[in-house]
Amino acid sequence: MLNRRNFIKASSSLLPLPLIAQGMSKDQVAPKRLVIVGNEYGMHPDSFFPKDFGKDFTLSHELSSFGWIKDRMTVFSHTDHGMEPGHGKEDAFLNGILKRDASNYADGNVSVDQLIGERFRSIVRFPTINIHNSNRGISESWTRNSIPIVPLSSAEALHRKLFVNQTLTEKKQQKVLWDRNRNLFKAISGQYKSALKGVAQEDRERLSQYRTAINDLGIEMDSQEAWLHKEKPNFKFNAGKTIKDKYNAIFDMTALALQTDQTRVASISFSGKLNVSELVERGYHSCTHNGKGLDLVSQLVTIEKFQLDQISRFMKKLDAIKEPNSNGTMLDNTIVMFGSGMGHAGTHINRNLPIALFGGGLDHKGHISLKRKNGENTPLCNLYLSLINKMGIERDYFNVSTGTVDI
Amino acid sequence: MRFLSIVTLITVAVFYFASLDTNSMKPVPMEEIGYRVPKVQDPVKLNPKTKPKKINTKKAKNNNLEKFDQLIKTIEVSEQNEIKPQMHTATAVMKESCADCHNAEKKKGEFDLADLGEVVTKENVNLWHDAMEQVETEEMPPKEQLSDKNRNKLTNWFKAKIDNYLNKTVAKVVPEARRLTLKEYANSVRDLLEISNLGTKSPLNEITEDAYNHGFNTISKDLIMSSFHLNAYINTARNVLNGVILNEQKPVSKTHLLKSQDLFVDDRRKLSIQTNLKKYIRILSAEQLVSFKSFTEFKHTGYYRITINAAGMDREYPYREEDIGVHKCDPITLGVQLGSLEVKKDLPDNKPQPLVIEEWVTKGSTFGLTYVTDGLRMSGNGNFKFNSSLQSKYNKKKYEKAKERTFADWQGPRIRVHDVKIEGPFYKSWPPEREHKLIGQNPRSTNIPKILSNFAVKAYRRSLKPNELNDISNYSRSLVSSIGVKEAIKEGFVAIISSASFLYINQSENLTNYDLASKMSYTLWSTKPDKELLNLANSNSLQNGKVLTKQIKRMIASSKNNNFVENFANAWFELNILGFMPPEPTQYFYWNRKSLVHDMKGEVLTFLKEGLKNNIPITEFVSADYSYINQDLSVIYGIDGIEGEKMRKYTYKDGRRGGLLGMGAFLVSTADGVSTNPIHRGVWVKRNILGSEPAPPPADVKIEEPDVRKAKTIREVLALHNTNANCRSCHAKIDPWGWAFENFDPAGQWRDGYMEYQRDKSGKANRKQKVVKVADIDASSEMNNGLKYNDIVSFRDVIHQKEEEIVRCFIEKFITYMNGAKPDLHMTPELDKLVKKSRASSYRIVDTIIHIFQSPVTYQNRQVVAK
Repeated sequence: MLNRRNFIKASSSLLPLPLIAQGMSKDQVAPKRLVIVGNEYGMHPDSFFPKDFGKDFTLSHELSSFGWIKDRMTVFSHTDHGMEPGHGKEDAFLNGILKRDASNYADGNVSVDQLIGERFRSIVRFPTINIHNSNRGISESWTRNSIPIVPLSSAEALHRKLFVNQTLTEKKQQKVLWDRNRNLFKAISGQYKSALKGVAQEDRERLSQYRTAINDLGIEMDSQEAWLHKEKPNFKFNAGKTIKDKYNAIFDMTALALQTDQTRVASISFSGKLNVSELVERGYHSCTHNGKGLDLVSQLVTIEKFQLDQISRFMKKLDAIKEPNSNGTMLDNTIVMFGSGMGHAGTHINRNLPIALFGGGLDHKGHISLKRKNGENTPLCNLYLSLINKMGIERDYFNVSTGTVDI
Repeated sequence: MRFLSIVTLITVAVFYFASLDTNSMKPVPMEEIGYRVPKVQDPVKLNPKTKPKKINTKKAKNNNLEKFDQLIKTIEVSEQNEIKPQMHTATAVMKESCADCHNAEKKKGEFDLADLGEVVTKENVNLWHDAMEQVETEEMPPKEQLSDKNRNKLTNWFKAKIDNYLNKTVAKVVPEARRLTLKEYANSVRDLLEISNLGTKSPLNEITEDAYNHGFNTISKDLIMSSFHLNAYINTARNVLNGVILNEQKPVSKTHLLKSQDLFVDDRRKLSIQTNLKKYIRILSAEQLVSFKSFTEFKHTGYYRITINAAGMDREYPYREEDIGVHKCDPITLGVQLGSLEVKKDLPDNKPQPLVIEEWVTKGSTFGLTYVTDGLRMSGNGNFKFNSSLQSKYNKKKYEKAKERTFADWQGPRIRVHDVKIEGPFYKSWPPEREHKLIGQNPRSTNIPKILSNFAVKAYRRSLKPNELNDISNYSRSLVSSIGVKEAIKEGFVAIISSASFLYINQSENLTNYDLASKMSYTLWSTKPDKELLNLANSNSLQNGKVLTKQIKRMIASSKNNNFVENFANAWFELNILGFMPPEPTQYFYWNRKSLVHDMKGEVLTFLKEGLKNNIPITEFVSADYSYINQDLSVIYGIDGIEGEKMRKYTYKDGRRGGLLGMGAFLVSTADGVSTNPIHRGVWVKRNILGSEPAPPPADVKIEEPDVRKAKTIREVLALHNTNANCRSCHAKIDPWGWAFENFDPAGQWRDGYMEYQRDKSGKANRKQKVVKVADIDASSEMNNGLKYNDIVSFRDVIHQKEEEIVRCFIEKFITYMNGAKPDLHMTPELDKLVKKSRASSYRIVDTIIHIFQSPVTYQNRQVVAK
């Protein structure tokens, strides 16, 4: 009888784990995974977008740490969501629509990571993990009914979620609590229905959020219960002090979570409130409004390059692990996307979003322009539709998509 | 063990190779893996509504030009019937100056004149209003395309049409049911249970903080409810109630006596806390937390009496105040940490005296002592270290070796704790009063329905509907056999305070007296109505004008108004953003080392609190020649002779400060830490004082980032911005409201010129370098209407004229805060009335609030609309 716990413990130095150990059937493929890394202030266009196109493009300054993976990456120019300028539009990064229009779309306000993650709900412990290192997050992940997913706000919190097991007593208490909660939900639902009698229509809609919350909580509880007695993998965690240490830890833990199939969709973000005092003098937001002043631009570029360097480091780790049941590495089976819902923060313009794809075994083309013959940009939702299809979900539209992008 | 793992490896390897399948790159249908998710809709059967609307411009081209001509004709016809003859030129104006761009074909700015329709209706009134604003504020048509005379005509025509419509409709208020904010939840639970604190083990840490929307935390749209929130509420409810219904054997009271030998010493802190002192414990710095190894936590939940023999030493220390940062005139304050609760006590000088604290403490809370001060951070990098250089300065004593440094010579302000006695837990009765108040002495299963309904009436702040509580009652009773009566009742309480009727306010169709009571108490106290309000609601007398007035005055005068003061200061002045971009630490040393955020917030809160107390005119918030300051603020404001932490009234004589616009809170939060910008300050003034939100950059304008590398001062930077006519049209209306403040630097200090630290050899600038002036300041500007001012003094005369705007802004913000949503356009006539009523009361703030509560915007929900 395989002792999964000891096996995983023994192989915590990131050795490849055969699929059987993860409880998957032998008919299944190497799981495709999706990691989205985002920020809310976009990228400095001159320093991000390469100057030339094609597979032989020259890496721009900010992309300079990706030399080792140049043949497995694609940078997209001329794609966006067609949004007006201004703050508040970057919330549409992962779904292409604004909250206020969500009711016009079949999928509501759901973001692409949540849509894909939901598909794996019963296979993995966590449909998605959302993490950043700040106490004020960016709203990039959304549920169907426009509730923003609150990301975990620290490396420590991520560690607790992914790698800290409950004791046997705690598990027993948890089960008792869940059973009791089920009955509690029924009780408060009943009171809610009685109380709704005689309440105006507009208020019913506002209060319907409450009813949805009860339902969602029930579903989440049920899926968590399925995992209660399964052990989480082990990870020795050293809380660093610097922002670099924190993000190193976050990416390392994400890598292990993907490897142990705790999740298949991760979303890691760099909030505008990021504490960049170790990197530069001014605040992040101040640097975006730089009036082309060299000093400030260089500080902005430092902050942005830090983010991209983190992705490079993370992908190197994934690339060092062979993917079982496949010819490639973990990186070849993980799609990593970098982007933002803001194009250029200096002018608050949300066109020409900085988007790059890495790995995933995709057909990479270096730097390509998605400008159409009629001069318009390709909707970013087209790219998302392609991602959705690559992740094994058969669909032919996603919000405002008009087609797909070859990847 | 090793054998086992080898076998495992081999077994696994076998399976591994057996599972290789070359044909497995196709995506696996998710249904096969077996979980329930709603199926994706077949795209063919899609509801056309789900695809975004596309305008077929070719078709529209022919139809709508005709339609437009029709429109003009009908307007001309209806005008001749309604409005005076000279107004007919409005349509000629529109034809000439608007139609070329704003037709169906071009539809510039997404606006087609035909969208206005013939008459103003409920559906299009906002569009009419936007169009009117565009014309009035000279956004559209551009200045060159329309003479001032015709612009006025057109504006007045629009206004007449809109007023005509609005006067036929009664204020349609849409107060939205909203979830309680975090503070409101905490206060409501605490007052419902009639306890002094919710527990001392961070009882609220699962619930997320509420977000601010331009300073408002009561906007209904933003107070969302998700499974995450509901889960947090349920867990929090259980946690809090565990500290109310104790359901255990009465714990035995114990006494602990803690002295210096009981101290817990961390290696790192050995230097700061000397352990060889047998007589007392020394607390030298603000970073120190004194804890005891013989008393690590409170073992039971209950009341504890803590007696501390302590004194503040050398309050009048021999060093300079600038080097220490602690005010000699203020008492030395001891902080007593009971878990997450901090109790502060001022200490007697030099000779210890017993200080007594009695609090309800939650089991598992830690115990600690601290020195509460914002000082002792003036040297080095701000961490307190025994600074021997200071010693040698004053005592002229030289230390040959580092280990010779002792604290014996330190004569700075510090705390001396002789001993601590902790007695408890004790209770006024058993079961504790808080428990039997709610559930009686010995409840039985049959008492449950009554106990729960009594509780629910208080929790839901209204009478119960028939059978409303049946499900919760049954739930509670069903648990009796497994967990006992008391625990079962506890679960019933959990259900009640996790239900929508507790968590949401503003819920009813027709405002009852109960709703009014809740509205008043959540607006003015951020908590549930007290007994007096509920009694008045019971007897249906709350809507009586005299009663309402008396109650509002009582509520504003009560000390429970603290929550309102804090929350409304955030809503009115965006006080919550102070601290996000603090002044650069290397350049504004004092501000950072002395934590001026706290003092600057205190100034605003004190002004508001005193303003309410004295019922000052709302305009005085801007026009006052006084404010409230303390010693730390006086350093920033350049005032001598102010001593101590306490806020006191100060009257300015130079005409530069006084009221909101001279306060550091405004000046600092509108700067970016390194430089100031008239645009930010202008936007703040427009939004928060004048109540006119500046327009954002237009959607279809291509924004070029200005190249400001050659510019030196902000005036030159903005001159470059204004080379673009599109930018200028807005900035001519924003910037003049911000230039006046250029003499105030990012820390709120007055400056006669733009100053910079000279950089040292390595290029760094810090406070050891000299400060030099690099440019003169020109704080003059010209308003859009031609009015000029030279500096802040003459600017203040300009803004003091804007009385109506200031008062209207306050009224709109108060209504937004109270209702959870901005006033609807239909409320405009009612708002006009409120401004008039306020003027009749000399614009006094409490009187204005009373008028608001007596107006239909508050007490008549969902009025009937058109006549």
